[in-house]
Amino acid sequence: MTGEQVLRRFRGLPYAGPAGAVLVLAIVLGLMTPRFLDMNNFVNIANQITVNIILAVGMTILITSGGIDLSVGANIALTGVIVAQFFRGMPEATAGGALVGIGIGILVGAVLGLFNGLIVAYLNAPPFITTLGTMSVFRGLALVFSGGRPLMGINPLFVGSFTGFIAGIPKQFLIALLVAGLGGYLLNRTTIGRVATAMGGNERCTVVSGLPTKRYKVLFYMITGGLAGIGALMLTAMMAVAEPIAGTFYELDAVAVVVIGGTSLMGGFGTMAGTIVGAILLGIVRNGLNLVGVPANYQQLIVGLIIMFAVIGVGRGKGVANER
Amino acid sequence: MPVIEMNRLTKRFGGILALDSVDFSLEAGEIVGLLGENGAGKSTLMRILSGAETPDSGEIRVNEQVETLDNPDYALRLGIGMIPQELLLVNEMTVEENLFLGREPRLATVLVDHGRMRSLSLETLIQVGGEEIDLDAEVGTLSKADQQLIAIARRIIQGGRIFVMDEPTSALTEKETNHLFSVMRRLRSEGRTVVFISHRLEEVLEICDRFFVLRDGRMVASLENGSSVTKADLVRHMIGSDVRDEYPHEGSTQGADLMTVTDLTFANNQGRVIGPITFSLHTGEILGITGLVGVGKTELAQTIVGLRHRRSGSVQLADTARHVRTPVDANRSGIGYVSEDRRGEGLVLGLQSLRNMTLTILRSISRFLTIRRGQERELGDEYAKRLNMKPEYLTLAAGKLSGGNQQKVVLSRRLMGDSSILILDEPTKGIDVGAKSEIARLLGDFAREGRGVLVLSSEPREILGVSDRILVLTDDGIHGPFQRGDLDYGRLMAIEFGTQEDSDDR
Repeated sequence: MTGEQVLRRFRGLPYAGPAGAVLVLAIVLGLMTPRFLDMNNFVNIANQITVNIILAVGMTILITSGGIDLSVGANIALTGVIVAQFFRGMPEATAGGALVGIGIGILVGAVLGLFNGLIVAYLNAPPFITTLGTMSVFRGLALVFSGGRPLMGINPLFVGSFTGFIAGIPKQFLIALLVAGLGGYLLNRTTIGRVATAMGGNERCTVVSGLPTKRYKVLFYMITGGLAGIGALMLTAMMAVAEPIAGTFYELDAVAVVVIGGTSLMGGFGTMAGTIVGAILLGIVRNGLNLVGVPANYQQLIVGLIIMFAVIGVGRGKGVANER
Repeated sequence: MPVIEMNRLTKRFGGILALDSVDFSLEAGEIVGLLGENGAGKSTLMRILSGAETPDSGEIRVNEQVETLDNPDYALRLGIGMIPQELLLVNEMTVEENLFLGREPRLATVLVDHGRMRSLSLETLIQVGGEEIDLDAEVGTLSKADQQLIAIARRIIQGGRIFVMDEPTSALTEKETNHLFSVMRRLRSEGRTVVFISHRLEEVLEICDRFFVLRDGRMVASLENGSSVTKADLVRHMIGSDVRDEYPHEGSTQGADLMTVTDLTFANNQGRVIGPITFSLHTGEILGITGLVGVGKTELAQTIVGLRHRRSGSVQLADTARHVRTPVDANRSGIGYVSEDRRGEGLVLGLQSLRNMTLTILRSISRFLTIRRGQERELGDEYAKRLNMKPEYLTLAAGKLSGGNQQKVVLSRRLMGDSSILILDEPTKGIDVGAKSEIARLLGDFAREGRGVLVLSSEPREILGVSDRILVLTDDGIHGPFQRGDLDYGRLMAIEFGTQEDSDDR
């Protein structure tokens, strides 16, 4: 391939905009401050975006299918609290206990997703409002089960299984990449991903064709919930503490990077690679603002503006391709 | 002096000539019937009159002035008000709110003048004989007849001089129809004009002063009502004599029962109960069900495949004792349903054609959930070849294909799913003539392969051309079955319009 061909292919990608922004930002930040290129800084960025990636993988599948889940941040808190209470109830910290804890975390997350899915699919409730409601319910339960306090006493073997490095890369970031890879495979290569794309494109068609759409819907919410459970495990391990207020606003970051990456908020088209690029972009922006010394009070404002511009850019770029 | 004069209007849609140099006029203070078969051009003509569509050529005069009616708002300002079958009322709002909807009388331009709104509402409702309607009731709670009066009253308030009513009586009882007629006469006496579109010829003969008859986009007759005009005359004008056979069909052999529909009843969207309907579908045949638009064919198909609530009756398949209750059941039992609404229900427009085809058979082309793309593509190529479709189309989004190719995509989905029964609702709607006969030929192939094919269509020529047996659905129930050859065009029309006394009722 010639350079021109590479460029043309790149520009055809649904996430060409944010990917270009990542490149430009990396070069600018690298020139502005040498600390950006420091290995420690990359580790820093990686640690900051892992949980977001995990949530956004589920959110990509869900949004592609025409759904949305605003309760994933609260899911993280509730699952974390339940796992922490399990560890606190154990007399000693064993490897087996750590393993059971991991199982409980994924299971609890998936059950919370199941709950969302059943309401949306079988009671025909709008996903946005449903999960806005369960967000509050899950958060409330997390406060009740923790007494409103941070829970210490997390099994150190459990903590060790998510923290530390392999070949100089944070373990949890590797897990996030693995999850993203599997999520991409699920979306692009499997029957589940195909049905999600079709349902998001025209749900009525999938119903009329005789697909069991309600069951698929429940499955999509369970996948998203189960991934939130994994996110809860990571966050709990990273902090070595479970907080009932953990994960606040994580759902918004997840939705933001999915949309920045080029997945259609209307459903029917999703790209996992775009989501990862979106997460990296958001991570670099936050990191860069710190490095170049933007006052903390301005950071949120700037991040918000960047998300807005990215989404507007994505919308314009896709205007032609998605014309139906 | 005519209030509306349309001269030599021509309108094409793609390759189809919807209106061919049509002349049409309306006087103040008359009720005019607009007649024609489905697809004759009535809707197109009225859409042009109401500004929803612009003609390719021709001239429109309103009150002697040449006008360009290019948007419905402008047409309404000239006094032209459509009252479509779907009345466009907001069910959740009150009667009074619906009467004004954004055109409330104002006080000092910002405040709603409630006093004036109330008096105007009462006055207008009396004018349409709806004085018993509660102005504060939610429109959704009212009967269809009352809703109709409200839709008319709204047009009066908006300053309507010309009222186009499309099949207004289709959901009404006889008493309600009579009341509507008295309202129409009152409008006439006030110097307003009513265009009445209906398939019910008795009603047309009773109420109209004049008729226009459209056939294949041409205005074939314009006659005054009088004792000498009969239903049979109207039907003759509507169907003409040049019946061509566009659907060559060799006739398939009929086999055993595949599916039995027993005493099925269901309601249409207006809440009218249709049925009971009983019939059976045999292997290797094409069974055609026809009837006028709005008689309940689509609803029948939807009820059979479980998309519409079944009030009573059953759908039973011969090879299993199983009853079909949901679309998932239907799909699993080998019933392949092809909806009339291809873009809305048949296809995921943004998805590749190939992926639209394989939507319901993903399990059979995957292993451990992973779709085998090579196998999928081979299958697509095979069906593209079989249905005479270019393989390049497989990788295009379904929304980019022509109507005929889109229909082939949906048919492929049903064939890949090994459907032993195909239920096709208006299978050639929106498809150009060449592709039409191709689709018709494919239906014959499917039947010869031993499938049972149920075709529901409002196009009499299509039904007469493709079917081995024909059932005719009318407001009185289902007529037939008639064997192929026992029914010709005229007789079919006579049954549909109820102009034949001995219509072989069972």
